[in-house]
Amino acid sequence: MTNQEIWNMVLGEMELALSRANFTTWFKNTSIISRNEDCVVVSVPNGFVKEWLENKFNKQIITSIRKLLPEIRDVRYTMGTVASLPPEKKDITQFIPDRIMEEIRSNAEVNSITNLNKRYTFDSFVVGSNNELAHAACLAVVKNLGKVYNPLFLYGGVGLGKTHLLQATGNKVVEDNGIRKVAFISSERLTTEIIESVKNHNVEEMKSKYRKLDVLIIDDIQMIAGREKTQDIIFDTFNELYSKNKQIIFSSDRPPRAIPALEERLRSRFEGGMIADISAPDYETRLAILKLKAKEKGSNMDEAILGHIATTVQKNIRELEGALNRVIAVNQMYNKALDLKEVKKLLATYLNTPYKKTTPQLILKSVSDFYGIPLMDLTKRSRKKEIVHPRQVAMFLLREETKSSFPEIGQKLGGRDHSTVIHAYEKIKHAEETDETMRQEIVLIKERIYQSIDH
Amino acid sequence: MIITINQQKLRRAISALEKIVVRNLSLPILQNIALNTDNGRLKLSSTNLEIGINYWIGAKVEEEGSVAIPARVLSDFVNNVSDEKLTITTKENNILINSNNYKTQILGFSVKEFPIIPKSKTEALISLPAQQWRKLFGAITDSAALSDARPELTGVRLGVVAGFLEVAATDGFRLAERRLGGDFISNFNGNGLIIPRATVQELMRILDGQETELVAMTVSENQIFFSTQESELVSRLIDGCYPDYKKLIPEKVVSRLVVNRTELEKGVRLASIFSSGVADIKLCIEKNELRIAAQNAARGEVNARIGGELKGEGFTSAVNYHYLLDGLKIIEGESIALEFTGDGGPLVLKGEKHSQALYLIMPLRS
Repeated sequence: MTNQEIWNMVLGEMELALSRANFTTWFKNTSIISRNEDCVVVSVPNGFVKEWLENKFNKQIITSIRKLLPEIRDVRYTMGTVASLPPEKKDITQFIPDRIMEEIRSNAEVNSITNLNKRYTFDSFVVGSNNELAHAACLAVVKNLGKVYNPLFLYGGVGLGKTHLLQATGNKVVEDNGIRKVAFISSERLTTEIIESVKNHNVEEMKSKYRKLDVLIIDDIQMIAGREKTQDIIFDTFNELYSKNKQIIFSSDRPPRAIPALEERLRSRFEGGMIADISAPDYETRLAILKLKAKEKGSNMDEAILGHIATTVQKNIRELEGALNRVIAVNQMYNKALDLKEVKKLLATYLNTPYKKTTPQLILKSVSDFYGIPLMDLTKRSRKKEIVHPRQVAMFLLREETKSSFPEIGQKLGGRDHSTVIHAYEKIKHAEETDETMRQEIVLIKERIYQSIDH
Repeated sequence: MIITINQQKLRRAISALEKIVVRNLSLPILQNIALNTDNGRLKLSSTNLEIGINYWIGAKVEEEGSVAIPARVLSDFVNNVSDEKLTITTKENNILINSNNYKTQILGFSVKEFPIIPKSKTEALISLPAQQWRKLFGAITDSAALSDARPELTGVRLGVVAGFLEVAATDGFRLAERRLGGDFISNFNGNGLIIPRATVQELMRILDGQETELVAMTVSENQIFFSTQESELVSRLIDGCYPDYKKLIPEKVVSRLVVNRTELEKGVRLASIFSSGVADIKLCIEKNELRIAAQNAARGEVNARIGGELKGEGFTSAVNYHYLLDGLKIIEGESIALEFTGDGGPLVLKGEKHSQALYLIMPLRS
């Protein structure tokens, strides 16, 4: 019988006799390290455990051991002689400078005049079928500033690389054409600047700053929706730059025609150049991105693990990178490479974080608020036009947002037949595809729903 | 147990013990302070299973006994009692604390569950007066690493170098080193120990205000003990190899500037107001003058000028101002020497006359 087996038996008995907390406190990291005819030596992690086992549990431990080895008379405890680690391979002089560089990097990489971050380059951008068009358009713009695609309008979902492309374009322009007047700005920040300038009465000064630019890049342009002064200034600046053949690039999370509360004259201008979309990357692209990122971070990760990450995280590159970072961080923390099983476990807890869900109640409330009718009317039998339309929209949204079954939706809206719901769903779906005002309505209602989830 | 004790003494003992008491849900007994009568004295103990402290205070013992009292309750209570004499009586696990003006009953626990705090069994390696220990360890923990990424850097290294007792701490961005001479180290062979930062901080707390009392240091089986007449602190040591920090200290000095400590500290504090996100300030040295500059895009900028004495060429270096201020706590004396060791090399702080301490800062690259 091995020492390990003996000790496991002792542990088994002690575990039954003690509370969980007590057991883990006093018996964690203990083991038998040696034994002779009548004595067993137990290794313990620290002095407190040693004292406690010697004084409180010695009798029980001896009794347990003697059930297996009756000749044992004595148990001794010794503090874990942790084999002293081999001297640090990397000496401290090497270790210091690269930590320092990391610290300062965040500051130095963003150019304070152009707002461009040098970290974003075309080299670190992985091209796949999802973003081919956008990538090619950006490259074309770099080569022929202000001549081919002006303005260039990129759109795509969250975390798919819009900002990366914009920044890379800006950087490349600066690099290829020497010092040009390039500015990268998010529309949020632009709005802040405008508010500030209105307050300080120097709007003209601010405007002229943007008029002198060769390349103007505005990120997240959809945020100017509903901000009239900002739209005004962007309109003026746009005309000015456009007439001088200066390049303008926008990004947004939706196409121009889907941005609500955007002035018509701006919308038509946004659509006047080139519109390119970026969609979610396919598996191969995701894997390529992971490989590139892992290499950047100097980590050799098993292909199977990268493959697993690419399969589990599908919609968002930022999350993809987050999952990779997490695996790398855990690797470094424990100083070993996790195997596929451990990675699966790690990511399962990471990805299962509860997300906020839209509820049918929320949808009904948002719809009734939007159309200004009482919530009760949606479920009543009334067939007045001003009620029927909102009711159909509600059915459509319930189907789209909560994936409820048709009979279930009918039930929720006053016990209607499922065929009624199907009809409403198809009707609104068709209208959404063909009718611009309908599309607007849906977008605005959805916005209401999402906003109330967030709060 | 029936004892009578002085409130001031009890208060002092509790303040030394309570800092290591942490909220521990799995073993609630650790949130207590154990009281035991011990040869005509009262022994108070607390532990978090990494550090343990025993503290003895004189008491009039009428009946022997022991009990564990929740540390928070006891501490809050004793801090607010104004009577000088307290009588502590236990009935089972109830503790009655009575004095002229107060009658209190506190619910306690049996001391049987309370961990036994290990005792030192070997001979003391070093015995020094409390003020010497305080001088040796003072402010050194500031430089130890906070992150657990490299456990050995979270501690303070204690060793013997060339006949001096030497402590050092570094987090990779700065290094503090201080030495103490004397003939006390006959028993201490050179192998360095790594003492957890919390242990050093606790030692400083216990020794606070003590001057000449002898404090003995004992090491056995990966544990370190600091004992005085009235207290004993025990802690685990950190396993691992401390990096060879001596290699980091440059031998060559390019230029050296001597400035007044108070002026330097004032200048750095002033500049810190305008430092950016990475807490950087710039030191520009030219012709017997030190200019401390900082600028922050959101706040503004500052330039502070300090006269000094320069040997060698002028230089410029950007450093984290927190590190510089921490360094001034390590270095003694009114005149501080700033040594420049070449571009990208560390900046070294020394006392102009005292050579017992050294502080080194890695510059920020810009």
